[in-house]
Amino acid sequence: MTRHEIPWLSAAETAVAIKMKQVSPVEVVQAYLDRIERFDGQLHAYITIMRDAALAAARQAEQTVLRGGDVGPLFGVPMAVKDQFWTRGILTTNGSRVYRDFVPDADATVIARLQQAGTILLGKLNLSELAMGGTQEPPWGIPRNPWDLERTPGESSSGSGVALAAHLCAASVGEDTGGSGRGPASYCSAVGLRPTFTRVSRYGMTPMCWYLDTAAPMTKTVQDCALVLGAIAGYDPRDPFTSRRPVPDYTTRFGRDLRGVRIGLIRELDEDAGMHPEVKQAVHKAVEVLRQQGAEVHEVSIPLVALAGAIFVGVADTEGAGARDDILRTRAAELDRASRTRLQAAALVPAKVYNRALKARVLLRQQFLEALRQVDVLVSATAPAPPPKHTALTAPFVDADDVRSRFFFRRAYTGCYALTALPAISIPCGFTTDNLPIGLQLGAGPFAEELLLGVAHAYEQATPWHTRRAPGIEG
Amino acid sequence: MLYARYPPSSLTRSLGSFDAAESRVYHSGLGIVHRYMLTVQEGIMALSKAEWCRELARLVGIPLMEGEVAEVAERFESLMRELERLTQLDLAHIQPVLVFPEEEA
Repeated sequence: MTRHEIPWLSAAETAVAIKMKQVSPVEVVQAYLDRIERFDGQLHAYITIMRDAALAAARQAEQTVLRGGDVGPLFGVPMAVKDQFWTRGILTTNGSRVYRDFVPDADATVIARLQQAGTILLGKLNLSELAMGGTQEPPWGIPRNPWDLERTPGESSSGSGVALAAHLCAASVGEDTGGSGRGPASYCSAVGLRPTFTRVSRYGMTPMCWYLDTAAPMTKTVQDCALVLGAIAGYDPRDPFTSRRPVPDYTTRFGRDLRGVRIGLIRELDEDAGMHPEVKQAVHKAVEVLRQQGAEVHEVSIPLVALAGAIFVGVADTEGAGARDDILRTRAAELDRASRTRLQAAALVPAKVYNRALKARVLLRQQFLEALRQVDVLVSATAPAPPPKHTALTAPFVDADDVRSRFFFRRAYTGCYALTALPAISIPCGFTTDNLPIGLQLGAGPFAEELLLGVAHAYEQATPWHTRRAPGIEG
Repeated sequence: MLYARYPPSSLTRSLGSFDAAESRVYHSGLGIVHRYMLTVQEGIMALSKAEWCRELARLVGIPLMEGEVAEVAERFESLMRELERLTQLDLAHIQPVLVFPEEEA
């Protein structure tokens, strides 16, 4: 295997190649560093590249392999994480000038667990400011979608999406408050998982929204996603909300067909008049693939999904403004204008309105759980349209109607799972005629990640989408 | 009662009778308080959207930047309009939670 071939491997394949001594961890890390040096000046996926630390860790891993030491399914795999996770002694910017000098004195639990799994940290990835969306002037450059440089890679784990699509890391962990992991996965033709809230520790993950944020494995394949989730999930005394449930092997359903699995297409999202026709067509074709795999396909109704965008913003932005109260009071001038005005507006929302949104969230959860008594897995598009151009996202709002159409509408698709604390995954399900990625979203009941990943894997193995490469990054 | 506890400001100054109103609030009982609040609300209605937003921000302790008040006001108005849609829901018997208890689907 040549160095040029290494970055095209999945994380699981990379670990196997290392274990079999077909490649050394040093060669693997160097191969990725070469690509980062070559492409990242244009793509802006990384904020911090940890060249020396990564090579040092790779040399140590190489010694472990040569000694015949115990190596797991992610051993030696070069990963990069959203710059929202604390890394001891390493700059953690949260995508904001406010944190331009913030060097944590502790690792996030996710970082510590990735290290325990033997992965090698290549660097910290770009994101929308404070893990929000719509940053007009990102301090560390505009992350560019490798599938079309004029288009957004999605928000807020934008760097993770770019790095996966351009093969600048083998796997990543982003963060998902209302779609920040699944959205970029959809726009970049990658896999992005939002686990059940409480499944993964949030310790050391700078909060955007206290009761919605989760770490989000983002990967090239579904198998990689299962391995990364297995590495980072589980109880953590430093995050009292984490579940004490044991962490299963998330690959146990791989290789099975889908007989006996009930799939439910969410009617309210499928009938959305604003959905791009090619997205709708791709979702319907994907449902047909699932049916061919043996799944029973149904249509389910979740009426409140239509209001999920409003409920989400009512909860997330209001809590976000609360979490950033100190910044809004004393350092607002350092924020990007879009972040600042969004948080300031949310800070003015009356408690009664926030309380109403919290109640509506409970009602939405009831409707989702009712639907999940009829079917095992819910299906929809991840986003109603392919990735828009950067200019469409960052242009100043003209009036209140403009805010509504550009801000609320698209949040219902992914925000509904965040609000209901349920797991959901985005996987590639096709491309538009302009060669822009389309994502399929699957959702399931609490802690049903095994099932979710099993269905996603069956679909992935039956389709070619995850093998397609973005133009101009062949190297 | 929120506005009555705060010192004179652009909002209350715009009414032109803060001192008198305040005096009535603290000395004349609930009926007067109610009339006072109505007066304040009428005052708010008289303010422009941007002025209203600036005053609300002052009350919650969030300074706005000159030149951005109109944008914040647009965002706030849009947010409130969108959230107004939730009033159509019957939420009377729902108790809000921040983190859902563990359960199976």
